[in-house]
Amino acid sequence: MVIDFFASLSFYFIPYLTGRFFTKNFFYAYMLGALIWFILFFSINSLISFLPSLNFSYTVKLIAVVVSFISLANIIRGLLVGRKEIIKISLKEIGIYFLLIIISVFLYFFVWKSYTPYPLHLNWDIYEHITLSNKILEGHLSLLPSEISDTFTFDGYSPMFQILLSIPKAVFNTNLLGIYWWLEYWHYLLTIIASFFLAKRVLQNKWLAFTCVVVAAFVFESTMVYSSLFLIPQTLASLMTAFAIYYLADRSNNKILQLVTIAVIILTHYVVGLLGAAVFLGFYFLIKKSRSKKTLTSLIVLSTLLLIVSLGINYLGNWNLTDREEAKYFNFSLISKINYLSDWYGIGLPIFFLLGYWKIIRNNQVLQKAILIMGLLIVSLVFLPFSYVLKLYTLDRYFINIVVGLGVGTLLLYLPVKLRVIALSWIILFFLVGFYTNQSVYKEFLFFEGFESHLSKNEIEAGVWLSKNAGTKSFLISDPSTQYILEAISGVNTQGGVYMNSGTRQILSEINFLYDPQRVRRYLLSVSDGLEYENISKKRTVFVLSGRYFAWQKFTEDQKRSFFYNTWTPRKIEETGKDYINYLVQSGKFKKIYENDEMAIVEL
Amino acid sequence: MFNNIKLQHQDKSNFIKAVAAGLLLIAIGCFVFYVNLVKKPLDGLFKKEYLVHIYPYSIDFTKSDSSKTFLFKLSPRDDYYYQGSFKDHFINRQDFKKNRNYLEESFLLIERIILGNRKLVWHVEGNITGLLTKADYMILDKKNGNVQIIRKLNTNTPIYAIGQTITVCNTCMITDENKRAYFNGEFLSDEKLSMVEKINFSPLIISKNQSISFISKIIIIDETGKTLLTFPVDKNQEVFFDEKYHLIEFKTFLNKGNKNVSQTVEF
Repeated sequence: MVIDFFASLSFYFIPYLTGRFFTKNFFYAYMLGALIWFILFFSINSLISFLPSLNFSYTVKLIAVVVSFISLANIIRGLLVGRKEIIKISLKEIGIYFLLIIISVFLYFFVWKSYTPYPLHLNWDIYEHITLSNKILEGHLSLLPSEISDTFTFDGYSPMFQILLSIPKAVFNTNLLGIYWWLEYWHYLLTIIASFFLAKRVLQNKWLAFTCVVVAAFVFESTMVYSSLFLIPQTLASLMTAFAIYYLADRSNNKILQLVTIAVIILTHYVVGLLGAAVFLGFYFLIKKSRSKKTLTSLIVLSTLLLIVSLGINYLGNWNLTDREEAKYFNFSLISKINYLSDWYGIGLPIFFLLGYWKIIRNNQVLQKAILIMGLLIVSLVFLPFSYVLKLYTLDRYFINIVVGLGVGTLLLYLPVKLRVIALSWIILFFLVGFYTNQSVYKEFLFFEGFESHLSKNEIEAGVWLSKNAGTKSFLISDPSTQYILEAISGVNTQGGVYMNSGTRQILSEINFLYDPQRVRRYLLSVSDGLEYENISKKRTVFVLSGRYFAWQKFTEDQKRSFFYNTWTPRKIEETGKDYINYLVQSGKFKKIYENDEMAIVEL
Repeated sequence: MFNNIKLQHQDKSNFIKAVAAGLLLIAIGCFVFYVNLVKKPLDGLFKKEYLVHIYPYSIDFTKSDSSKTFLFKLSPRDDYYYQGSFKDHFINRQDFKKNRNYLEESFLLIERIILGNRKLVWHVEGNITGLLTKADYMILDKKNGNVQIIRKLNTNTPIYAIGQTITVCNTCMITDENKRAYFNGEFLSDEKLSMVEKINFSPLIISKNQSISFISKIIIIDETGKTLLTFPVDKNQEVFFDEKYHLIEFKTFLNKGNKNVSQTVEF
């Protein structure tokens, strides 16, 4: 756990120390370092084709350690020589940052993860990113994630995020599951800090900035967005955009670093990144070129009208943007989206938002108007009747939270100073209740034997056992959820993880409680990976019969074919399942190599 | 003078804004509490050892794994009060009113979030033979994995005992610390006898009106002999078992004026 803690910090520090050779700004150093590492990984990959004896993971580790040491040495030398490296920060500011950390620690560890101890998880998406990072460190690299692992059926981003994720694993040689547990806390803290920075810069008032932080910390977008509590490419891209806009507003003029930042944001997630780039450019033109109050107010009115039009389009119908089967499940009606916002922000959202809107319209603050314009434009996109557009709120939340926080703060500032602390405590209390209920509803179905998690300790143990005993040339088959999780923990390849193709789903359906071991074996051996390089190296096949597998087999045929239906939580194997496993093993066609309450692993 | 008037007007305006802002914040906050308690009522607790959920007519305890196997339940339609020679259920009606106290639930919610204390409350109201009765149930999660069940009967009728009744699962067996398994005579079959012998327990036949004596615990086991639950038995309690309905009644004698009883369940 302790090693994973330090490894998680290296996700941020190693790219930062790399970029630090070129700039002292924390954020720009990190972004530049991220781009450098992205290029470096591809360079190492090319080098390995000439020098096959070179170990990819070891080379990454060596470079990371050397670069970090040199950079640290530079920093220390700079401090000793007396350069003004030390950040000047007042006691009051230290107090505020300390308070932010306390709030984040309480909400994250004592509310969000209260029943999800290390190394259990609440984020279903992490397993595909861990799988991709594992593959990258094995030396499989491509600009298209679908060419690295067939878990990816859609190239929504480059492997930028997974490259950054693989660096801590290479350096510390530890399982990414534990590192990720800590990483998501740092991400949450950084979203709060980004919101604070942006709010402080835009609102120029610490009380108001603090109310924005309360909104940012206590609002959890629990459907499709997950900005603050999940670390995935879209949320990282949004966070990067928020910081980029902060530094732009803070009069940073280094165009090269800004271009690097945009490039990294787009590489992290194409859709959210392109939106982020557009928003960045929008801010650039709004705040760098002088705009009159009249022009900005007109733009606010125009954005508001666009929002109304967007709401109106919902009455014409709704459309799926892709032909992916799951798209229809992510095409939400207008009422659903409004309900989600109400769940996330609480019933006070319209009042707080309108108050903030009114304040911004009436004042002369360019930055505030720019925030409102961007917030309205993106929310217009969010409300369009297309699939997946709700995802864009990942970025918009940074702007809407400022408007809402301003509304909350406006009410607070009407009160006498002595009453503000009491009022703020009351505000924190009802936002806390909203957060608690929201995250409870999200986690409710994940409860299993005292924990709230997508995976269990038994599954982790099985995965770790497989990583040590199965070998890299093994191929694992099970139901989509089981193989998705086990592939991430063990590094053993599967066909598609949770995004198993229809052919494999059909095969699994055919062998459901089939009392013909020879046929079962034949069917399983016919499963092949979507990528040829994986099939060439495949030597041994293991079949995992888990509680999840037997539960999945009870789905209807339509549900089995769908990406949307999975056994999301661990299951114990029932008696009928145990009998079937024993039958297969006794046939002599399958050898049991591992067993616990939740799964049996048999070798073909 | 005109400046003073202007200042007074400004002060008045600020005062009105402050009052309006304060009232608005209070109203929004109260509404948030209310909406959240409606959206996600405090009607369940989950732990490694058990899940407990308040249903319309009972409070049910189940296993905490994905099987969610039923363990036991309690209901005001099963609990008894004793008045003289008269005995009746807390509430006789098939349907009864459930009352929610949002202020109490708000405090319980805050206590749960900030202190981690986990409690459930259930207020029910119905008629007993024409008299209005209110009963309050409180489930307290003890940190050691046990649960405390408190029953409070609000009625003007003088009562001398309360029968705390639980309904156990169909396959559960009622035993004690001396490895005796209890049955009502008419339901004892050869199959049950052989099951009892297999797990090295001694079968004992009692009628449903006969109290189980000289025991300090009632232990509920499954068909393999594995302990599911333990109910400590107090000296001022009598225990009855009705096998037909899988009911165990812990008749608890009350001190004068007292209408609260408490029961501990060990998992």
